[in-house]
Amino acid sequence: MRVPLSWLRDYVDIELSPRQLAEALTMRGMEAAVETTGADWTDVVVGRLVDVERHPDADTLWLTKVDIGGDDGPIEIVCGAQNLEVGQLVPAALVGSVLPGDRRIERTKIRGVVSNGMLCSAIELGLGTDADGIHILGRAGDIPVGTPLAEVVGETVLDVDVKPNRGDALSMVGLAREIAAFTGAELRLPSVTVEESGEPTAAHVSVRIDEPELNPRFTARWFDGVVNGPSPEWMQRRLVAAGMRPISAVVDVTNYVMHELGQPMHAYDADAVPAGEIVVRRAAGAERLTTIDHVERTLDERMLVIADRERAIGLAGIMGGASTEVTEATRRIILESAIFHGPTIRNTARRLGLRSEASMRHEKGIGHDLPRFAADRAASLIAEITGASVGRGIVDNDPEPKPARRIDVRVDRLNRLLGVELDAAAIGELLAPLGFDVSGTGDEVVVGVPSHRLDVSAPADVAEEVARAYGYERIEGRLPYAALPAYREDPSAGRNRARRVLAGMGLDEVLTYALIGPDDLVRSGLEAADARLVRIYNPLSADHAILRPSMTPSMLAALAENARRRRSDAWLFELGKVYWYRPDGPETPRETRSDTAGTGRYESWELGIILSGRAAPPAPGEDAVSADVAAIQGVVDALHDALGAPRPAYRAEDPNDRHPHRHPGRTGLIVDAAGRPYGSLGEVHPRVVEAWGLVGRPVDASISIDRLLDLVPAETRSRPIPSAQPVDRDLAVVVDEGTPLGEVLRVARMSAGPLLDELRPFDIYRGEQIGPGRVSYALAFRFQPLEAGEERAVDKALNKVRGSLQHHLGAEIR
Amino acid sequence: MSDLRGELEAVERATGERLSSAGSEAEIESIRHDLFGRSGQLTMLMKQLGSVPAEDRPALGQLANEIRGRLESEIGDRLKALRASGLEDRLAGEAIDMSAPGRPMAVGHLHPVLTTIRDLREIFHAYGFEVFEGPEIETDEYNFELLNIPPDHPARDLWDTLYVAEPGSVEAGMPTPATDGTILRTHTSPTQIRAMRALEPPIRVLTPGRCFRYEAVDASHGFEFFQVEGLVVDRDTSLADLKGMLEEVARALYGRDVATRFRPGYYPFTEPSVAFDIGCLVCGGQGCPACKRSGWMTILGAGMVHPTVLRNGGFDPDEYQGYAFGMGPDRMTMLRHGIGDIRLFFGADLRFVTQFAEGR
Repeated sequence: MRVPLSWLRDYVDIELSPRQLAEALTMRGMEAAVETTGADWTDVVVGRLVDVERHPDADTLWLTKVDIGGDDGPIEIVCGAQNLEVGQLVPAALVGSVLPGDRRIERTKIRGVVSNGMLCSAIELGLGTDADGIHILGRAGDIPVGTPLAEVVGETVLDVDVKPNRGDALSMVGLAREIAAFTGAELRLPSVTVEESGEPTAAHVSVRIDEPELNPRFTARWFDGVVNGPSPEWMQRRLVAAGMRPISAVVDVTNYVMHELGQPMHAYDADAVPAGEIVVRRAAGAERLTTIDHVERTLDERMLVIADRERAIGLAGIMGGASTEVTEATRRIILESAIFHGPTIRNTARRLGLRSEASMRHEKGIGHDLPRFAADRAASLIAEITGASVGRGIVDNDPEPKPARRIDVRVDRLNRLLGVELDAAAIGELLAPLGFDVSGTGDEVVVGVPSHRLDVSAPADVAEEVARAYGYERIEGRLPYAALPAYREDPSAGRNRARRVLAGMGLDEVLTYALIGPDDLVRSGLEAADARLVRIYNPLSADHAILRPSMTPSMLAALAENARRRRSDAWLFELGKVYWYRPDGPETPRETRSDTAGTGRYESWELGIILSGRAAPPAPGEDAVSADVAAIQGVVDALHDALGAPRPAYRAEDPNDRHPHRHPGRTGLIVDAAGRPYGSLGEVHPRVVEAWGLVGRPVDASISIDRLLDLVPAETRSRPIPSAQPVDRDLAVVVDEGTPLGEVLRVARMSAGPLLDELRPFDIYRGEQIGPGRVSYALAFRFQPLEAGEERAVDKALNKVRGSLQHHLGAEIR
Repeated sequence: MSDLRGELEAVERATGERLSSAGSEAEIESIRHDLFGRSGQLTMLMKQLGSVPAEDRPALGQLANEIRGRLESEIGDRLKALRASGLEDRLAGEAIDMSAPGRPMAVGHLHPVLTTIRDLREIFHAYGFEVFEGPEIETDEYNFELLNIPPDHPARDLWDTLYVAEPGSVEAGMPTPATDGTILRTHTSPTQIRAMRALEPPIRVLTPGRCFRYEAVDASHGFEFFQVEGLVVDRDTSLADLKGMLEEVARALYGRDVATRFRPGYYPFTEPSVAFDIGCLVCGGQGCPACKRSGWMTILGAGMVHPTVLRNGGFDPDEYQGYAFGMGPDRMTMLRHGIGDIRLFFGADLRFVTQFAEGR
């Protein structure tokens, strides 16, 4: 909220400097910053439009003549705004002037016509957010032309961030009340004396409320003899400083009182409301209403409208209707000052994209006493400014004041919560300036809440008020001292170990969006129409509309991002979550190892690795070795070693059920000792490489990190250090082509027994010596007997290996 | 007789000359062979000793052995010297350019935001906080309602939400929000309810994780980001304890001398609520654009857990109380490293990631 200090001072004397005031408000929970408008304007003056003509060569531009009070007569300025009229006073930035943001104004030629400056909108002046049209300052005569703009609208303004629970402070008086409470100054409410005359209001206005819970209070006043010209300059100036645009006396008064007291109000042209009959009801389905902004809107039953006998004439609490708009010709008005149901207003405003200063205040709630007071305040101003007579009495569905809300507060409980020691009397003294009434002594006090403080309804709310009044800065921070919980393992510890291991192996960690787009899936050979994908209803863009079902698209995108920057050597990893929809519950072991909020959507941690080219450049004269499937297997093996998990085995994927983004002959599953897959790896399919604009032959892996970590034994037992020397033996194993090496190794390892320390393939041979269709794997075994003299046991183990390979794989041993 | 003596002496002389001119091990080996081989000169002369008259034999034999000994040791010395100078020559020829760079060894880099989260974990671990994780795909109930934010509450404006679509509705071209209220969590606070429901007091947990918001991307906002929240529930942890804890954390993160400010804030799930500031790290509190001229930077939101939230977590608010706080590790990382644009965090730009060593 923009708070001009000169306006605020009407209600409370302030001895603090603006900066001190901002700081004090901030320390009371209302973050405030000082803004001085006009400080950064030079050579911006008030000008009067003496001529407005179409630009000869551009339909959307205007050629204006502006009187700036100089001796040389009006200057010519080209302008693109559409709200110009002869006679208006406008801010004119002259040649050589500087606007906020260090914007220099120069003499320019726009489509062949010289422009000697610029007419400014509110946003260009830093006066508000209105970029739509020139900031009209008034009509000729209001302000002398040539006056420096800073003298007219320059102002020290506090920008105050009022939190959603403090609707009561969204006004000059609301803030003044807060300031008065902590400075000890007196709060001066605006004086309200309404001189009523003529016929009773009730003779001209009636109000029917269909659902009182949606409209707890509705007050209406009636005015006759309105002359609705411009509002006085002082009022316009204040509204402008607060960020509003002056419109007409009646409308300006309603906006003025809203900013002054926090009560949104609306004035209807009474002659456009048949018999003054007002109905507050829900909109009918598909009911239409043209609002004051001349947009026709389609309503629904969830929305609350103000209607006449037949049709809606306004959106309750949000915006009035065009048919009852107050204009210069308006003579009689009905003024509404009401309380509407916050959630309904909020919902309607959101649905229609129509959030306004009024709707914002209704959302946050208005105290029961405010509508009447505000209606009277507005009535006195309308009478004073427009010369209108105010109808006698007020239409009000609930004029009775409500008893103050009372809250029982236990003093020891309050002290225990805040960590302070206050007694009942001290609490009373702290709360009294804020309008709270504290009674009782000893441990039980009763706190009466002022009607505007809708946010205070429970003892904890009272505690917060006490803390604010006491001063958060005065609470003594207690050094950490805690009742400690029982030890629990950090669920992220294993993942963090994996991250460090991978970085230690030379891989760089990336962080990518979990939200991806259908194109990412398609480029990765995945199905974008998969019903198991978790989709977003309101994505920010199509590129971020789906929660990734796999790390693969993210890793490919990560590689592509670097390839675009001519960095094709990249070894990357990310530990991220993947997501899918399984309304019937998890199916695979991996899905079981997942998190869910019980919505049929599952998420689990996946390690994505992608390697392209070299991890490090070669030394001079050496050959570069690019990553291949063996390299990523090495990375995966080493990760297992470092984490203490048994190394996995690799198994070719079933051709009918393989990862579609991979080379069909170079994709395999990562399986545990029991043959259960928990990841996969392989070479990226050339078509996917092309689709992503990658280079070379990248390889990738994805692994369920939780399942990998599950493989790590709970403890590592030490083994005795053998006294015997290790025994090395080699075997050449000839098998049919098509027998996977992994299978040969598995059989050999299984049959070799506990003495086997290491098994390593060191050569692969195909050729004449072993005949066609055969392949020879040379295996190096290192056995580790525990004691000297166990060589016979080694021979036995090796014989067992021979036998198993022959028996299971039809191998010939050479 | 003198014949043999003369021949022996001649061999010794000749060998001496050969040895002194020999320049390689091979030459010396061939000299040795020429002397001591099966038909070597010395071998042959020694054989003649047998045919020498008996009275001359001892003297000649002694002489032959002396010469043999001398030659052997001379050959040995010569070999040793040659070998020594050969090694020197070899090493001299093997000099390399010591200024050339080493063979590159790959070293990976960890992401700076995740490093900040790790550091926070370690700091809070020292104060007894343990990590508790929850799902990112949440329900409206956990993300809002149980946290004292009913539907259409104005505070909902603080969290613009990404809604999960009703299954099938996007594919059918008519997207609707999921009827079961499934959303992407807008903060890690729902995990606090889950922690309260899962754990016994005293509760001290840290809940780091990824969050999502319907927020246009610019230099300081993104639709994905991280949060680290903490929660304490026991019988008498107070606002004063919260203040002390936050001051400690600020000192751990930003140094012993950091200025701090503990002031009222607003969150629907805490009461009283707190905003926690540190003196601006850019201008040192003088006021600059980074701190909007206030001299302070807000690094944390916090407060005493709201009684309704305690009740929803399964605790009687008359008996139990505690505090909660939340931090943005993304922003903290930006402050820590002087990073000007939050968008650098999401993506894989190695020109960015590789700037950060794992340490501080």
